Amino acid sequence: MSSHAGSVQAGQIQRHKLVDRLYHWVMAVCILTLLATSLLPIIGWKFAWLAIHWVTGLVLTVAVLFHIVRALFFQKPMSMVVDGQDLQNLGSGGRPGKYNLAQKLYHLAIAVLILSGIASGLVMLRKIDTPWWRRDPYWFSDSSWGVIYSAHDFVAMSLVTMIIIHVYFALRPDEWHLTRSMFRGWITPKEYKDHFDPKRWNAEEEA
Amino acid sequence: MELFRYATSVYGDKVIIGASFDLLQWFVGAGVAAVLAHAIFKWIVPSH
Ligand code: HEM
Repeated sequence: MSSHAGSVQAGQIQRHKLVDRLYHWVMAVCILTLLATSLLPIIGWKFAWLAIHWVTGLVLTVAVLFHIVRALFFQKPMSMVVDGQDLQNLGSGGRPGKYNLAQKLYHLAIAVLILSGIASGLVMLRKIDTPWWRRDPYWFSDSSWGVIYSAHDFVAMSLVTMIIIHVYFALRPDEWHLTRSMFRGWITPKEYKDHFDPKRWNAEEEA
Repeated sequence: MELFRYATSVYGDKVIIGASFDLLQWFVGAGVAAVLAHAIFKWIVPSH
């Protein structure tokens, strides 16, 4: 129960610092913008989407780099890695640490998808005109471009599935404490006690 | 239903140019199916 971390007050357990919440929402806006700009024209709503798309892609790239540095050097990266205790809890129903098995697997899948979207998107920038260069379609063979575009397209369609699942869990009343914590940063001591194993997630120490 | 989109190259070969966006409806369907499966499971076994 910390009183010094941001706006968290006595009676509140900090779950996400302001900077991490900002990252989450910047990423969410970027992903939704990338999906809307690329998929709406495909399903029939035509507009000049490409510039908004790749500029948003660059913003997402910078945001994700920031998150990687922060997660690796300023947070506890192992709290997002599946461990033996997560698997044992499957049978025993024990309480999780900061993140449960489903959340860790979801994070792994979304990380692979977004990093693949960024990697393929950055390469695809070579195939369009930007303020810095003219397009060069001969950078790769036609079939190699085809593979890169296919990877980018499958990432886009998979993200649609992942977002439907993510929004469903965020809206479920039994997950509401987690959703609130992504807006306001904290959960209550009772929620901490009911849902988490304090030995696996020491919120005091982390705050 | 095709998995990929194709075009014909200057040499007349069939080349892959991307994934088939006809698949989009299946990706939406998979998300909706996962949500329904979980919601029904929670409804039948509420305490789990
Ligand atoms: C991760 C979320 C992203 C999604 C969902 C997404 C989705 C898409 C889709 C569906 C297309 C159409 C591709 C095709 O016609 O086959 C596209 C094109 C494109 N994307 Fe992304 N994208 C994402 C991230 C990025 C990033 C990070 C960049 C670069 C910084 C980027 C750059 C591009 C470019 C340059 C094209 C156009 C290529 C062209 O028209 O020739 N995208 N994107």
